[in-house]
Amino acid sequence: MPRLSAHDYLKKRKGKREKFWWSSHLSGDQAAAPNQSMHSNCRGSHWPLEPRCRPCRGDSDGQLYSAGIIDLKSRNRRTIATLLVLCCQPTTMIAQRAGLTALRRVAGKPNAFFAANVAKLALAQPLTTSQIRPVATQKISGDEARALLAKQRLNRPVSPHLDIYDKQQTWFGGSAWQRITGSAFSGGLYVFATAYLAAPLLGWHLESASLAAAFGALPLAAKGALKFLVAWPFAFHAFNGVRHLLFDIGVGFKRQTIIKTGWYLWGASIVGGLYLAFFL
Amino acid sequence: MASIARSSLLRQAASTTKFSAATRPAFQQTSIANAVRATAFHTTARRDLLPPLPQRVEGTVNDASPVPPTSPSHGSYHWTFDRLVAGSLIPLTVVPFAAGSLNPTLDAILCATILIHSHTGFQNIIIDYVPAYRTPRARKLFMWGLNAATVVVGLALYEFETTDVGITETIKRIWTA
Amino acid sequence: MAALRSSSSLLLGAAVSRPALRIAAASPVAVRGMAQLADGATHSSTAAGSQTGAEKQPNLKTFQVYRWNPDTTTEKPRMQSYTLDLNKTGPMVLDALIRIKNELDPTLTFRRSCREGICGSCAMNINGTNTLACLCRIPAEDKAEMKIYPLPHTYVVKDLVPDLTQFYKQYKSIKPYLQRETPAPDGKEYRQSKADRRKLDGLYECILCACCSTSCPSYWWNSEEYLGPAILLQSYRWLADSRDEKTAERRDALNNSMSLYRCHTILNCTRTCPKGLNPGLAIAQIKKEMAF
Repeated sequence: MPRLSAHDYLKKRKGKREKFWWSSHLSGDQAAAPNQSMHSNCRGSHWPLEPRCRPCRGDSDGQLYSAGIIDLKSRNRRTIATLLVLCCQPTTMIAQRAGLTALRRVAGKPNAFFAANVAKLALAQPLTTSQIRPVATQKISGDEARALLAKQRLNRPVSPHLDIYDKQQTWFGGSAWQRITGSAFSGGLYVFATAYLAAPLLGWHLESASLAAAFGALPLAAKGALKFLVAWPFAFHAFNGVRHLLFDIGVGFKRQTIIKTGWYLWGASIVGGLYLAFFL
Repeated sequence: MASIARSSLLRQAASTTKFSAATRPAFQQTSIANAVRATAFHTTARRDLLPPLPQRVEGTVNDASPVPPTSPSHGSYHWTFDRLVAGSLIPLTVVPFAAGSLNPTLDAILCATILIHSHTGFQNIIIDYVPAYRTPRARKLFMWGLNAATVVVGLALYEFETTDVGITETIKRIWTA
Repeated sequence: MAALRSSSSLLLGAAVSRPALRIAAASPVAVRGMAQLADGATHSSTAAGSQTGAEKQPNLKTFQVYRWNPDTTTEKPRMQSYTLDLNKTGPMVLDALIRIKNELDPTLTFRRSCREGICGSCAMNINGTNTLACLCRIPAEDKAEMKIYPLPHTYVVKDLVPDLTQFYKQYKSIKPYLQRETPAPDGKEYRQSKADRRKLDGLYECILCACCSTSCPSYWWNSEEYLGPAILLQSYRWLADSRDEKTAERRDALNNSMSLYRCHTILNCTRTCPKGLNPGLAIAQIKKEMAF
């Protein structure tokens, strides 16, 4: 299997710099360690090869780019080369590229004078000229490329989720509160039942009569508050339980219905909780 | 990933917050120097119960993820049973309060149904938040702990139903106390 | 998009008379437009100053973008602010991102391809919900900053680029292709009644952008084993296909505690789908058909 760096291959094939300038917009530190970032050379901006552009969206492309080389079966050369050129089109518009062509011609040749003055040029010109950077590629095997990718993966952060996702859907989501209210009731039941079983041993009085007497001795406000504190989650869990059972038989899945019933749920559970607490 | 209730954020030790200016190309230096408002994420310290693991991919990117063995008792039967129990709770809770009649049998059925509903609910919570592939021993511990607790609660409810006035009547008395 | 070209055209001294370029073209100075880093006023103050004489008031909008560079793994992810003049930016968030990349910060990394909501590349979390940047309008009247994150609870390759390897591996695991052994009766094609074909509407349109899966808290916590809304919708697409003959096998593959039944009808998936599909309903249908 002939192995050829994409850069070399394209140089041989086309002999035109514009076609593979993708390889030259690595930034300086990346040029020193060209394999550190899989999307740094293509800058994550891919044209689709197929409509879904699937190879560019998982990691398969990562291997390709991070290695900087590809194994080219001779019959696949054209395809893969096209992929590289297409996939690595930057977001820059054609016009801008045309405007930079002359600059790139200069930059394309590794040139001590130019390299030393890239920074100055970048400062002097409002346009970003610093994409142009000569870069070296290196040949590594497929296994090495995979090992490199595995190592890169270990460093990856997990993107934020609960902190940033729409609060209405996470923190005020019916499903989450269904679980919270449900486990509060069930947890309460488990704790009470265990205590009830242990009460004779510990000398507690948890019979219904003493519970009712203890509750009756509380001031009115405390009674009301406690009742509401139990009644609201009960109402919520009951209403939302019905809602979820309706979901399970396939009812109420329109987007607007979901949003609306989500809000009605809060209103209904508060009203229901107040009714249960104060009018029953 | 299995990270519950914990921030997203990041396992990287922030050994340095300053940009290593010397190693950056010119355009980055100029733009980032100006980016005073580029704020780092705050990792709220030690809130993580099960922080997300570093990423590992089994096999190559072209292998399909494994398909677990079929077990309807943990899948469809379990789900259907759950829904039936949940559905039957609606009439069971409404009837005794609405009718005002306190049938001890009905009360016992209500107790049992609530117990099963709680048990499967807790099971779901454990399956969600104590992942078996990651913390298999903790998973087992939680599951057996739950089973034991349910047995204890079942006993207690039996005791309560047989020696006391029953759960419906108790709630009624407390509510009107 | 035309605005994106303004700087280069001006650099070339080309007098362009496209309507969208009228402001930039009217000013003789080579400017980069109002685009500037929020606190980079000193850097491009001349550019900003030359703009004040223009007939239109600049409509500034700040975008906060999640940044993380794999080359500097010791640095934490951070939010970076960019301020754009919306008069010179296209209507969609993707236009703004492309403009930021072209004119402010070429290191900003994101995926994009078709810019019309058919490729699913530019899926990201914008102002708290997952959507495609190319289908998400910039709320022009709203002065609040826009916050742009990668898809939630994914491993970040760089900036706004998440690693979807697991997502695709799971997609492969449901065998997303027609499985059939009986040959077609006419030896030509597998036919389907109109009613059967209609069952696939709302399913086949899924572009696998992963917006729904990464909006699902169940998938956040259990993505190793739970398939997530997108893959389950695809799974239902093949379950519902009258031509497929492996329906029972497909159901068996889902019939365990993790693959399907981690769905608790939270329905963030249906609320977030940028294509207006209903993954929640598809999952409910699978569950319903598998019940008993």
